[in-house]
Amino acid sequence: MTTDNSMDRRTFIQAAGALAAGGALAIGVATYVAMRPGAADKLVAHRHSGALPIDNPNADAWLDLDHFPVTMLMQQITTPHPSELAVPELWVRAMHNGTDIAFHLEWGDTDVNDMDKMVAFRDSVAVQLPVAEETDATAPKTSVTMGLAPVAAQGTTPATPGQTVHILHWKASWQYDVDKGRRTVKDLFPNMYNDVTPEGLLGEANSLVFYPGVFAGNSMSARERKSPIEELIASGFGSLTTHEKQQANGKGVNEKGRWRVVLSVPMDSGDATKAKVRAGTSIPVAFAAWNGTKQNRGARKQYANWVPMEVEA
Amino acid sequence: MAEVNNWQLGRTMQYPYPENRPRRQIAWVFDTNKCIACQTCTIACKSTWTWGSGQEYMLWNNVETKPFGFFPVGWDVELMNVLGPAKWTGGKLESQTIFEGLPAGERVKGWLPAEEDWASPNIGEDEPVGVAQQGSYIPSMPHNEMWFSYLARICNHCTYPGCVAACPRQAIYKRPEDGIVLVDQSRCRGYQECAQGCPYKKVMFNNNTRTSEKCIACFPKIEQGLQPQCVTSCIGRIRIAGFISPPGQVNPQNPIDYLVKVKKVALPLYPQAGTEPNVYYIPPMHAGRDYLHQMFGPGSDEAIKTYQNTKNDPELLGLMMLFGSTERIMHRFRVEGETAIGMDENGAELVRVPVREPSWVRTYFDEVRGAYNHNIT
Ligand code: SF4
Ligand code: SF4
Repeated sequence: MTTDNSMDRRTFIQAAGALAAGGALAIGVATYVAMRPGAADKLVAHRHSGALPIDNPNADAWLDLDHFPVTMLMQQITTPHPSELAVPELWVRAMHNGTDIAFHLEWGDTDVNDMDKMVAFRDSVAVQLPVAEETDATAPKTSVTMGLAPVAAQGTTPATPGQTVHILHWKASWQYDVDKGRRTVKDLFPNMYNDVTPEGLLGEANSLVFYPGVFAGNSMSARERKSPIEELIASGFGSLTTHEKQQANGKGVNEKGRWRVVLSVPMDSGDATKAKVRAGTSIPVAFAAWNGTKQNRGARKQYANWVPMEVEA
Repeated sequence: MAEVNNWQLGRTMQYPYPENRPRRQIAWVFDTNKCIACQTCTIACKSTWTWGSGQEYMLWNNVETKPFGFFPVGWDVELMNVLGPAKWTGGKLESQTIFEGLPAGERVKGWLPAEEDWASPNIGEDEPVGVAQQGSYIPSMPHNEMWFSYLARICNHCTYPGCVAACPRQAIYKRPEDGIVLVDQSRCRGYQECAQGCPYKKVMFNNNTRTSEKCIACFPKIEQGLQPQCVTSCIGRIRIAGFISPPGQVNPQNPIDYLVKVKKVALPLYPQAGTEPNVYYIPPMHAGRDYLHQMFGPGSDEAIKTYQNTKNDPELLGLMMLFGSTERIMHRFRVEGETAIGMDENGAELVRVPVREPSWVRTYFDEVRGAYNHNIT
């Protein structure tokens, strides 16, 4: 499945023909898409020398790479389900420099959702890697369903070990936090009035208890944000947990109705609970995407099954 | 889905998790007839728990005027839309709960109120149904043609919480020690599935911390044997909090059991939703009865009859007088002659009150002062 503006080269030539014949609609979008190479037939993490362009999703180093189109599916394995297929396709590019690996994900979304607030949901995207080393990237043993919880008979310790996955999760709202600073309630609701706040009365340190998410150390509530990407681990649905060691970074931008997001992480974090990516191997990678306009969040998402990715030597 | 027993429905029902009742269950009784909508409870709660930025329109306790007041706007109208009219045969619910007959891909039948629905916490205040005509008067109960009533609301700390069922990450849990339902603030990721799934709309999103929050039943007070802020601050003394015995067990000396199970004068709110809520209401006796059937189920007529007979029932009257008489949780009560006595868990006396307050009736005309007297109650 492809979106209207994720056309391949041939479609673009046809479209260009139509334009030449007199239809002058959407020149901007068509040109924007056409300036790039075509679709790759396999996903490759290309070897790059020097620092990876993780701060600039529009860098030539990224856009000169063929994109690998990944078909997304509505998540319908566990409840709740999304109401419709809101992100039908992701374009994936990847590169590494032997130390870090970075993914470049691109998809159509004309309506930016970069707020976390009541009845409003953010756009976001995620990359999933198995923590255990997979010998066959085309047939991974780790379940794509965010890993698998350990199986145990009632009252016993698990006989079957669980499978853990390592997830990189970029959030448009966190990108906003990093770029422009965390929105206050006044930013979200300009007419909101609050005559007395705990911090106003008790000072910052003593008021924390009145911000339970902050007090509990929840990553959602963090007041200082250095990266738009959160590293998580999971062993099955509902088990997603913020990793205690946050090392991922990257950047997302939305221009001309498309998100381009770079997610970067060390290939070997030295932590056994994270995925280890070795140059010269092939590893399975899976993806998920959320569209805030369609009230996507949590399991209400689009996902893709494991895709084998060659990590250039 | 598991098959669980919901005593309020007179049947078993479908629920995502097996029946697992807490060791004891906190419960409340609110007498709607005595509420004056002063909102002291609302402010007591707000100034204790939700005065942070991000919680501006978060009222864990609210008091709304029925039928035209709601917080959030239209919440129970929406619930009726989701459920359809409740069908009862005797004490058994024939229609489906929010956990049954689910649309594909959903965990509960829910909906998310719009942002603006939270912006008018006291909308519809004191608006009656019906229109007063010239010379209208209200001759008898119920006031079918023209009425309104007050409904004080908190989280029901349900036995089968809709919020727990809706959360895909088990970030909401019911405490085994007292049945209090809490959002784990370290696991919540702000999906707002709970806000969508709670039929009473008692989980709210904190716009500052980006997590969902809800009434915590003042658990630090409960742990010390004290009743929650909304109960102890209540001007109208309409509230009592205590522990309700599990289904099939009744302790007639326990105030909550006595009101809910012995006298059946206090009823759950919208029991047809299926969550087995643990706030019980004495229905407003003057309100339209059809409305009350929908709101409190088939027991509402009998409950009102019992309530209207309170003056002839020294035990019930004595207990009603004990509402709001102590900050401590009253585990037992007894009435001795003209005195009602409340006791703690060990049977030690907490408080004693007269069953009837002394009253004086003054003469209509004060001869000495040459003035007319008013009698007030
Ligand atoms: S404090 Fe009591 S009387 Fe006043 S509004 Fe609340 S419940 Fe009603
Ligand atoms: S009233 Fe709502 S928030 Fe409270 S326990 Fe029940 S379902 Fe959960």
